[in-house]
Amino acid sequence: MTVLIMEDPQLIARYELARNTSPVMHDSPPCVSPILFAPEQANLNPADEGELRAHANFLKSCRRQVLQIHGHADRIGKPAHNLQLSRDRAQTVKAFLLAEGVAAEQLQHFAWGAADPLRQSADHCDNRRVELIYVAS
Amino acid sequence: MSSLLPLQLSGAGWSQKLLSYFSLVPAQAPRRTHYRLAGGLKTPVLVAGTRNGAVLQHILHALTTLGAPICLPESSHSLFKGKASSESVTQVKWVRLDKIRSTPREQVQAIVFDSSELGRPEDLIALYQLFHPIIEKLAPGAKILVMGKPPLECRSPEAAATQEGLQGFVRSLAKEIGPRHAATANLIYLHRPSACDLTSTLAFFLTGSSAYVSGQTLTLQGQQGAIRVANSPLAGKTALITGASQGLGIAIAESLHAQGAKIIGIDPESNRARLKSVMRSVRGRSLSLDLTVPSSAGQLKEYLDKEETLLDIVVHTGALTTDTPLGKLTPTQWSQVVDTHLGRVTRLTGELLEADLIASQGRIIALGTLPGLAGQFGQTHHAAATAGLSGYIRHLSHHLPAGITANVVVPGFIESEWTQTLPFTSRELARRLNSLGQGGLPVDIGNAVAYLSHPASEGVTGQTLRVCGQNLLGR
Repeated sequence: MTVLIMEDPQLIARYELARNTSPVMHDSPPCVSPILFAPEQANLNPADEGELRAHANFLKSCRRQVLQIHGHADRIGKPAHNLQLSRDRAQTVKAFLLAEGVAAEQLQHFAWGAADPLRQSADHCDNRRVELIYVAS
Repeated sequence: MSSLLPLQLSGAGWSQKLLSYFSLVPAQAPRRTHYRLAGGLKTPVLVAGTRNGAVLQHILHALTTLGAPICLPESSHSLFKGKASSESVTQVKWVRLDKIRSTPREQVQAIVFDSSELGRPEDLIALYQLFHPIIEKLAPGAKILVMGKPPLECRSPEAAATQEGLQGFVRSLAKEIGPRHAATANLIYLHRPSACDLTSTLAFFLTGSSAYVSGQTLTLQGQQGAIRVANSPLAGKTALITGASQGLGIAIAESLHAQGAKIIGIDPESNRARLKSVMRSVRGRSLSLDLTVPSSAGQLKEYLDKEETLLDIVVHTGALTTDTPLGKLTPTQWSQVVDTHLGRVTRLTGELLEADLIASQGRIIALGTLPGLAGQFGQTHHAAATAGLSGYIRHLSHHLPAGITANVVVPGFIESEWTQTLPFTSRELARRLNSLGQGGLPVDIGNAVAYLSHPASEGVTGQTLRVCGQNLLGR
């Protein structure tokens, strides 16, 4: 017969002590979703500013956290133009976060042009985007 | 303790050179470190790439986040212009590859090569151009990591061939550098590189925590969402380890505990005293439960409900070996082995998932075996079960909710109490049948599980990670 054995009280007490003295956890970052852009545009949609402000507040409260900003473009147009457009989009988001008081060391920006599409289909609206990734630090 | 060290042979005559050539003389034991992210990467990393790709910049930023000193080849100054001088990439040193000397201070300790832009067979010459000048100047225990693009995602058959070619290159390179330098080489394919968090992968493959992982290929998937910030990466997480009182189970419990996880160890009633002693050392809780009994999953669920605990990490370990040719195998032996390696894993995992007892960033890790990948005489039942395990985990990974991952870790010859019971000749032979010419240590498995359990390893799923020093069996 299989018997389920509970631990002895002394061990549980020690475990509770260890749990209470475990390293302090910060709050989780805000939910991340791609920030979309209109064709040939690198301006922020006012509706996205609230979300970015939430990221800025989180980053200000947790100065060790690093956020990567990845700019992308759809594949309509020349590669060099798309690369520049994706860079402009990433820099727009970065500039917004810097203006909100986030430290420059916490932000890394990347430009991918059309090299890393989210969707391969003809509908390109999801590919004109900036993605945010919190990296482990 | 001496039994844990590889056999040392004296003298350096032609016979030893010959043995060394065939990987029969052990390399120096590589230095091992416990897996950790922050501050884990202190050695200089030589970073190289081929074109002006963003992956290169991504690698540089990930290394900077890890605090690693970066070296860049002077010949590619124009390639890195504007990337290395970016405000967040620091500690860069320019080096001339042909001027690196083989003195201990100048030897190369870690290399990352971005080859994701290689698209034509003639582009493969880039591998020669980078590695030829420095291959004789590797430090003992050096780490080489090549980054590529999954061949099936390439736009042309030529590009796919070039990317697939990286696998052959890395496997051969690992065999050349393993016996001489105790060095390793591995390949990572990046699927949607812009969404890959490279930090945990670089911290594993470029340090001594991957000392016994060589010649392997992993695919990293772009991840969704954010990782959780913590001083200790697994702080507050709960890890369930089956077979926790056995050799590898103990090493895994110690590694996860060192990262801050709370451990729940499971083993049958017969191992109760031993399990309690192990759990005491990692401040964990022990459950005496025989998982081959179908009702045990229900008992575990009751326990977790009562404790109001969700599982963040589930590690399936435990093995049962009976070497018997198929003609002499009894149905009971067959069923026991298949159930131990496969049946109980699928049953327990299925029940935990169905009852929503695995947390949103859950990690499911199962330990496989080499016969499952390569086949072995007398192990038809064992191999069927463990090959099935890889298939189960791969299929499961496609159907898990976003954020939960499932992987298999396959240990090679790991020095343990069990391997000490093998006959001398079998043991020595098994130690030699890999590129490093020596057995692994339990901590190597613990490190691999800690890497896969890390929140930043969300992109590694459905993979089989071999920790075998590039054993000759299987790929």
